[in-house]
Amino acid sequence: MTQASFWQNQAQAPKQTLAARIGDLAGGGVVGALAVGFCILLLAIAIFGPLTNLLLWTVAEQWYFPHTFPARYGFDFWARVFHPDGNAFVSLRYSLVIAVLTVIFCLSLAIPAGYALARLALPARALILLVFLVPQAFPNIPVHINIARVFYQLDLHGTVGAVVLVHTLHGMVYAVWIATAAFGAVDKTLEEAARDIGAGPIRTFFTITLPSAMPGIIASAIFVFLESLDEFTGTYFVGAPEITTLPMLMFRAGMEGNYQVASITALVLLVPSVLFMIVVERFLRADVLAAVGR
Amino acid sequence: MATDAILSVRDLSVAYGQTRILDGISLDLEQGEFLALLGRSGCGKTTLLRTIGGFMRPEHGQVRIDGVDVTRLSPEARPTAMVFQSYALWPHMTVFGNIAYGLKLRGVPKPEITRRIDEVLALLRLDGLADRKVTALSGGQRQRVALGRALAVAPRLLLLDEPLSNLDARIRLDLRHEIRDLLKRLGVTAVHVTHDREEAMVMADRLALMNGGQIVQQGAPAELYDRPASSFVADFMGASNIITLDVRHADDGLIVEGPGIAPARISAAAGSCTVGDNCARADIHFRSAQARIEASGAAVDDELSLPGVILQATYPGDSYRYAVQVGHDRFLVDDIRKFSEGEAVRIVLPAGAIHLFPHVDAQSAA
Repeated sequence: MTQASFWQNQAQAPKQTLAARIGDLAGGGVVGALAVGFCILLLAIAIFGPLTNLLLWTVAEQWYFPHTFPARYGFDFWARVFHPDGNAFVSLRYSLVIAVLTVIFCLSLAIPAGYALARLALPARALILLVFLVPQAFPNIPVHINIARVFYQLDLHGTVGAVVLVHTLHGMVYAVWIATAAFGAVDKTLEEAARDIGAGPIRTFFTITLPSAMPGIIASAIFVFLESLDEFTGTYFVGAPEITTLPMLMFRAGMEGNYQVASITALVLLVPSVLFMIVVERFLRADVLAAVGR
Repeated sequence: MATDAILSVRDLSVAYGQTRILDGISLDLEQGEFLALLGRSGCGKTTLLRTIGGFMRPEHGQVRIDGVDVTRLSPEARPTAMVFQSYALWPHMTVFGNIAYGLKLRGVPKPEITRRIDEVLALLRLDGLADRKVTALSGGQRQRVALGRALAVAPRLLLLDEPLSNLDARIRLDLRHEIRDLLKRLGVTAVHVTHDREEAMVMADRLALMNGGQIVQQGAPAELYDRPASSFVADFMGASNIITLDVRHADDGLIVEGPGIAPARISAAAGSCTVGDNCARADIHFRSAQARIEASGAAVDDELSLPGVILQATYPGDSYRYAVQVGHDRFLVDDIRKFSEGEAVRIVLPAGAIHLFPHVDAQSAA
């Protein structure tokens, strides 16, 4: 085939969807259609299978080995989990208190850090940004074991403060990176206009720069909040057994074979994640997102 | 100079690292005067404006406003207000919030703020838009809000940084007159940066044409237009047809001639070539509209006649525009009469249309 005819053939070939390609590979026609259907089914099972299992467990009161489906359905375990004296409420309170404190602590560091990284001519700026990634890059367990050791010596182990510190360590990468991008996306002439009209640098920051960067800051707060809510290993090594967050409760219930409690807790943890992701999608503008990590 | 000068700039030099942007600028501006800083991009006009506004520190030199040395003061400490090219309106505030910002800062009481903003909005024909988000406004409206924000604080000196360059051509033409009218009514002293000659001439009382970090000529619009002091000014002010010819001195005037061009006696030509010895060769600048085209006939006294061929005839409106080839040069000449392409003609320049300057090589002129 000559060069020219090759390009012509390329141009003539219509764009094929993945489904159409699979159908063709299976020989087309009825067989092809069946093959496509089968692939979709496999995909659906892969995605929804575990979720269905989880949902079933939340409403299963009796479910023994040989049976494919639970023997008895009901909301008995919901009542037990959400009993005012139950573990779930204690865990929920721990989780929320720790998440809120983590967000406050993270942002109080990330806002000045992000502003400095975005606006000041700092040497080794890229290196500083990279340092915040380090806790995520190293294997989690050795890092947490060492932190736990240090906290034991400082008599911090098993306190809410210790857990907040560990969660902050993980949240900082989101908070600082997104805050840096958010401040970087604020048009400098907006600040110049405020200075020009008579505002000092501090007033300019609080009335112009911070409000302009606020959508990005809120998005980073949500990421930190979700990260804290879901965090397990750090909490386990630094907080257990005194601090029992929702993931800890879920873990313990799962280990004890109490799948109903574990599933209900998982479902509860899913709610803020889904809600907040919808919010984040609204707040995080494309230009901020594109600048993350730069 | 004058003691009642609002703005007085003395020997100002600004550099970015090693690059010198402004080189010994001196400037005075009186109460109520509207000055346009005109020049191509990179000539330093915006840097001069930003140095006056306090956004850049000069290497040396002085900026005085109302007799007070503000050279080392930050922008918020200066009695200036700027209208930015991008408007720089705060998107998280309403129109009211944007304009009220400066007044709130100054501790103006609430009822007074409301009263003054109503006044500003009426002045700028923005009535009823006070509670609108600035992001919901059109370009022209945003421009007026930016102007209102600057005017609301009653600055001693208004700085305009290419305020019209982001607008549609039509709106731009209207706003030129509107802004000039408004500033004159309010008696505001203003410095306006632009690269648009016509805009500068329409809006300003005085032009300062800049090139390479220096002011090359200052004066009323008509002065720069009719009596450009250099080849650069003539070119910028629209006399951009250039032909290089030999010049001799005669009893009462100059004799101009060149290869293929009959000697012509010119009694009085504008430009800096009246004293002979510095320009045995001279650049003659002329405007398309001030020359005319003749089909034939002999040269007349006090007119320069350039024989050529019409390459292209177009009609942009009002009159025909001809591209005429003369020797190796090509000129644009407007004439209301119709000639056809390929026709042999003469470009006739009356003495008044001629601006004569000592010849500069293309390299050194750049």
